[in-house]
Amino acid sequence: MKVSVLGSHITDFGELWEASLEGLLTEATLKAVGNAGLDLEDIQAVYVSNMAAGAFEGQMHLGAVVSNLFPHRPPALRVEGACASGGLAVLTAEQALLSETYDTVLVVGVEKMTDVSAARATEILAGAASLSEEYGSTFPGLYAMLAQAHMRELGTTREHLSAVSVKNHRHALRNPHAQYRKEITMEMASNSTLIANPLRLFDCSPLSDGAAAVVLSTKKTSQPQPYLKAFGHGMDAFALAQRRSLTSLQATRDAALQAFQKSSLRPEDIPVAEVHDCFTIAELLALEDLGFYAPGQAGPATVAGETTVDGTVAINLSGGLKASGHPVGATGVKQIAFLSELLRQGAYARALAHNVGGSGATAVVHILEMEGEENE
Amino acid sequence: MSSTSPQYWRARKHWSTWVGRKGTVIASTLIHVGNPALAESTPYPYVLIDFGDEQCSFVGVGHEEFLPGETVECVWRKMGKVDPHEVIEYGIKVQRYTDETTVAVPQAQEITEIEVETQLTEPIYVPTHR
Repeated sequence: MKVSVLGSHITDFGELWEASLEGLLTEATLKAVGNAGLDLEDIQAVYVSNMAAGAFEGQMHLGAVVSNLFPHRPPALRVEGACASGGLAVLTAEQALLSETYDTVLVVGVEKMTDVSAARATEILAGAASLSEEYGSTFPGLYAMLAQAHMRELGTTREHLSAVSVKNHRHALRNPHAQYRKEITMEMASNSTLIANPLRLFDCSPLSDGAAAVVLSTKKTSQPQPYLKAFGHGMDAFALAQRRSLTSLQATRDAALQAFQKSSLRPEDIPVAEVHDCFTIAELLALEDLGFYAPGQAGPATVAGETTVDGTVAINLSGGLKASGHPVGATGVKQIAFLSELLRQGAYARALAHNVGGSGATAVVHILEMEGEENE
Repeated sequence: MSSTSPQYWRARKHWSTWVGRKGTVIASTLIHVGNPALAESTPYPYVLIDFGDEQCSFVGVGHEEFLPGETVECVWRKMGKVDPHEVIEYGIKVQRYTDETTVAVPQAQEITEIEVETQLTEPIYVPTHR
C-alpha cells in the first residue's frame, strides 16, 4: 500500500500582517484539496500541525477550526512536537492511512508568529526546550553550544556556517513563497549581529507566519503520483546536558536509519533534500547525521558548492527554514509539499525531508519517491 | 520561565544544595538576545557543565563567555529583572572557580541589605558572622 501525495499548497511565508491564523489555514486547506482535484467531502480526516497557536494567538482547538471549513465536519486533531510538529502530523496521518482507518486525509500545518513581540516569541519558542533543565536558555543559545562543539571537535568554521546561509538565500530567490527573496554575501552573513556566539543573525531562521497542506491518499489514481516511500521517527534526551554527543543529533541518526532501512535506499540514492536548518549549524549537523557527509565534512562540502543545484545533493532548494521562513507548525508539512511538487515536475525521482523538534529531542525523516521510479 | 516560577523550584526542590558544587565547562555560549526574563542581564553566558556524576546547564555570572575546560562553581545570584519594589528573584548561576571564591547563602534580611547597597551589581555574599 502506498501513501500518495495527491495535492498540496504552500501559502506565502513571512510577516503577513493581512493574514490571520484562520485565514492561513483556510487558504492552505482549500487550495490543497483543489490541487488534488478532490471535493471537500472526499477528505475523511484532518491532521493539524501546530506548535503554539494558544500562546501566539490565543487560539486553541485547531482541529475544530479546520474541521469547520468542511461541510461534513470530518474528524480532526492537532499534532504538536515543537518544530517537528509538521513531520509528526504527516507521520500520524500515514499511520491512519496504512491502518486503513481512512483512505484520504488532509494534513495542514500552520503558525502565526508575528502578532507578538520578538521577545515574547523567543519566550514562547523557549518552551520547546526543557523548562526545568535549561533555565535561561534560548534556541540560538542551545544551537550555539552545538556549533561551538562542532567547531572545536570537527573543525567547522565561520565560513562554513555563512556558506549555508548564503546558499539558502540564493535558493529562495526561485521560491515565490519564500520570506526572504534576497541574496546575501559571505561578508553580510559573517558580520551580522551576534545573537549567541558564534551564531549571528544570518545564522538564524526568522519568525514567520505561514501554512502548508498536503492531501494524502492510498487510493490508486490514473496518473503517477509522488508518494511517501518510508519514514523514520527518532527521539533523544530532552536537554542537551543529557545527550551523549554535542556534535551529532542522535534522533536524526535514528530516524534516518529507519527510513533508509525501510526504503532499501542509501544516502547516495537521494538527489535532493529539505533539511531542518533552523540555524546554519543545524544544516551541517543534518547533512552529517543523515549520512550525506562524514562528520566534519558538511561545511567544506557546502563551501565547495556540493549542496546546491547540480551539486552532489541539492539541499534546501526552497531556501530552507533560513530563507523560506519557519512558521514552526507549518515547516514539516511545507517540506513534504515542496518536495512532492518537485517530484511531480519531474525534476527529481526521489527526495528526503528532515524535520527536527527543539534542540534535537525529536526528529522525523521522510523519503519520497515518484511512482514509476522504483526500479531506477 | 521565571526563577520564581513553580516549575523552576518544583524541578529541583533542593536547588539550594547546589551552592558550592564545582564542575568543568563542556560547552558555552554568550547569549546576546536573551530570554525576556533575563533581558537585563544580556549578554550573559550560558554554560553546559560536567559535575562528574551528572551534567547540567546554567546561566553564568557576568557578561563574558566561559571556556571549555574551565572549572566553575555554583553560586546563589539574582536571576531576573531587579525591581527594588518587587520580590527579587534568586537562583543558581555558575562562576569561574578560584581558591579565593567565598560563597555562602545569606539570611533573607542580609540579602535585602546587600541588595540595597549594591544596586544592580552581582555581589558575592559575605555572611555577617565573618
